Amino acid sequence: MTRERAGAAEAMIQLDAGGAPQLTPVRILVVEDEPFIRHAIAEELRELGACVAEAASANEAWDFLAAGGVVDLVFTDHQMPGSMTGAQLAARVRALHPAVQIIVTSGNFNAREWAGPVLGKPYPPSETAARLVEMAVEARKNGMG
Amino acid sequence: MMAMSNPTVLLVEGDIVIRHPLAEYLRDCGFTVFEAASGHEAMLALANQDQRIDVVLADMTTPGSGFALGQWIQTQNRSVEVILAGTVEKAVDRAGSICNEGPALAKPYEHHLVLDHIRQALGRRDRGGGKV
Repeated sequence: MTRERAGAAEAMIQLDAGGAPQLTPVRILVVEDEPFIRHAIAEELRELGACVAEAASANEAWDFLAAGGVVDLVFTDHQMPGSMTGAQLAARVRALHPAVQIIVTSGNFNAREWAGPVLGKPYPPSETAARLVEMAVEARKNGMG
Repeated sequence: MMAMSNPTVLLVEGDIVIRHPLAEYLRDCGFTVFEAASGHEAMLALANQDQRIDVVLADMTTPGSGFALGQWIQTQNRSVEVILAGTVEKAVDRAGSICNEGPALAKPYEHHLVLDHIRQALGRRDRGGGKV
């Protein structure tokens, strides 16, 4: 599934059948139960050329990954409906796939499960999207090494 | 008057394994897609007059969706086309129909490929597999 977009989020990471490097967009999973916040950050990321999957809960995000969804970065809210918090999702993904970048976002974060990056809420969508794409590109490069 | 932005599809589907590839297909057809994981999320989107929505494509089995959502939309002051789909096959088929009438000049790929992708992903999930 390809689409012509701005190239900011593209990273040279795959070889085609003939061995030539291919530019493919970075893949970001946005996990957020508030649909307008989710849509806003996802659209900002798409504007920058990222391929974005939107999950409405940590459980849904885990479902997506269990079904074979491949991501470079997970950007997840912490407090959401369901049996799993964003911090728990982050810890599970980190344990299984250390190359994937994970950022938890919360207005009031106090969970012990996650000691990695946390972004306070509310966040500016445009600047945040640009930073997330940078991190996803970095994660992609590290994952290739 | 010609619209200044691409038409927006509100996609209501409670299963991310189905919703994501369907949404990506519609985006590749040139639409903006607002994803709703429940009928409640769909109602929030539709109740916001600032949120453009031209077509609602809703799975009938998603909680709060289906006929209840369709009837609720009729009570709202919104001019939208509502399409209800009872199965994943029907949803993909209707997405293909929307794509044919969409803003893109050519379809990016046949919609049956989306169905194949969804079936394979559902199979991986059911087997408890998958990778990040």
